[in-house]
Amino acid sequence: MSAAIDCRYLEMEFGAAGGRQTVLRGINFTASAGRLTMIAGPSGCGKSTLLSILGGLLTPTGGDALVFGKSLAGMTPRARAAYRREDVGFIFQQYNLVPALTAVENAATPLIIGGARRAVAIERAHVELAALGLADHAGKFPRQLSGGQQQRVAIARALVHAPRLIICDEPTAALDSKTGEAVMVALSAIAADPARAVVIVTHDTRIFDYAGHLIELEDGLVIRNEIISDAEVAAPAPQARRKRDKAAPAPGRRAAA
Amino acid sequence: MNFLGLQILWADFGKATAMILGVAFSTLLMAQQAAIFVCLMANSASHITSAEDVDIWIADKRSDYFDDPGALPAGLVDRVRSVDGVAYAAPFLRRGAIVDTSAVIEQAILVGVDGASLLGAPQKMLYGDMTSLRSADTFIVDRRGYNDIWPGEEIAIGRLLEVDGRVLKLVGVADPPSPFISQPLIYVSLSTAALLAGEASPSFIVARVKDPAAAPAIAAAIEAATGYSAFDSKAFGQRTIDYYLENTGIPINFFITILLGFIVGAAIVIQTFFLFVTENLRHLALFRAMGAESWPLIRMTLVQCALVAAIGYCLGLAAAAWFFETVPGKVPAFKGFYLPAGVVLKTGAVVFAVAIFSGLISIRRAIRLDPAIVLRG
Repeated sequence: MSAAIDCRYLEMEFGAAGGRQTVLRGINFTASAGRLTMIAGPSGCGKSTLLSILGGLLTPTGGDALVFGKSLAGMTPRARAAYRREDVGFIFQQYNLVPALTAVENAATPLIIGGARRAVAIERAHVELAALGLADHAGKFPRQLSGGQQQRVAIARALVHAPRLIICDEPTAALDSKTGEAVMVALSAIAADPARAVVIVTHDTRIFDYAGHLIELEDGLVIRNEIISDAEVAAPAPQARRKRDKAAPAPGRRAAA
Repeated sequence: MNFLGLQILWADFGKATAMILGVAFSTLLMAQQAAIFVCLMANSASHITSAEDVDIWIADKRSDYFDDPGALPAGLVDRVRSVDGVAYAAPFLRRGAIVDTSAVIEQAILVGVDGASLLGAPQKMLYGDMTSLRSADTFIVDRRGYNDIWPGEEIAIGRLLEVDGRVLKLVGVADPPSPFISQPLIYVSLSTAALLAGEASPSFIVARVKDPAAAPAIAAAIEAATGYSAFDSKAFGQRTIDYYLENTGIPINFFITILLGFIVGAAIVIQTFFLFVTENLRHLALFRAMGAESWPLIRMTLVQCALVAAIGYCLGLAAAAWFFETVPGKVPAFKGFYLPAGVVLKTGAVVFAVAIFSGLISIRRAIRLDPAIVLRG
């Protein structure tokens, strides 16, 4: 598997001089395409900030992050917007669907923002929704869909423009366990694509079984960086699998370089 | 992007409707009041501009405008006729008069025209013929004046009316443009006017010239030759309008009404659109997070504003057009009032400027928005 993400001494500070707050204190890790990378840690540890940097929403104040070879630190705002438009798909905790748009229109949004013709974008969005089992719900508004269906629309939206990096912010936090599992099965299948990297930030220990690479942060530092063998990564029936021991790596796991 | 903006706009139907009605109300108020003002000002010079057979008006130096005539010497007309370029000149009388039916005594405007040339007489007759004025003790009244003098009665040529103490016979009903002062217009020949009580000296001398294009130059020559003020019709009409603009409270009153229409409409549109954008900030941030740059977002917002403005403007303009299509035919005070093209265009320009302004100040927050907020819950 090729290195899709390469974080080098990544630092992030907020606030003006005197009131500066350091959120990331030199993050180092690499993550591969074709493997689901999960970032965990307590509230305030810097997970969302790291995700924002990888998604091109924030510029790091120190170090660099290379995503598929693109340096995020040196990007101009315009280049960052283009990066987000072309290379990144977002999946949010609260789905962030636009209530005024139907499922298919929501799913087509990244293509429309990217300048695709509406008919082309809608057609492509229909294909993505159908692949996620939502063909019959394409014309419905978000309020007419269940939480799981909304999250699948959000996944379709994240995939529709074929980005290489999918970043997910607590994708199962608002879902019940069964729906959350269904969403994770879908994300695992997406993460298996060797040309694509999927990064999930989560508090939800129920979904750790799906991680192919687990990174744990605390106080802006990586305290655990573990590649999980393919044999141990959850298949579509995770409830049958034992819960991993977060404190001690299970046999067969290896530490990331 | 525009497609997304329009979908979001129509989804919030209540706000879209409020904005459209705000624009429509503002358009109606501004267009209607501005049109009434323009027509009212035009009416102050309507007698001058509609007297197509008169090229030059000669007035007393102290006469500021058409409704403030002086008393000119009878011999002045010959001096005017002697000026090069003048084809014909005749005296013209305009003064107040009292009309007395058995039922009502009313103030009227007496217009005396030269019986031979009928220079300055109304061009359009509804009943009878203007030449009938050449008979002694006859008069013609305007349509609105007839209704004022004999309210609700059918038009009956030949009926009698006491004007300034002398009984005259009605020989026709004219349809002149509405005057600024809404009193009956009583047209008589100068020979009949001389028999009435009150001033009979000419108020103006009206002249027709051989070459209408040379009217301003000939007016200057008349002024030089006679020592009296002389204006071509366009200049005299403008002088009258300017008098009302500068010396009455009419412009300021209309300006205040138009301004209120503008302020109320603008306040509704700006506030509602600002709220609309504020409530959609999260979606705008989402679009920015997905890579939308500032200009497409600005364009999307401007398209929303332009659509609201276009629909509201059309509705408001339709209401104003309906007013001018129906009311002037039913309410004599609004006779001849219309919606001038200039008012339509200028109102449109103001409405669209307000809409674009409201869009720009609303989108400013979205442009400055940190797209990372979409990950902050």
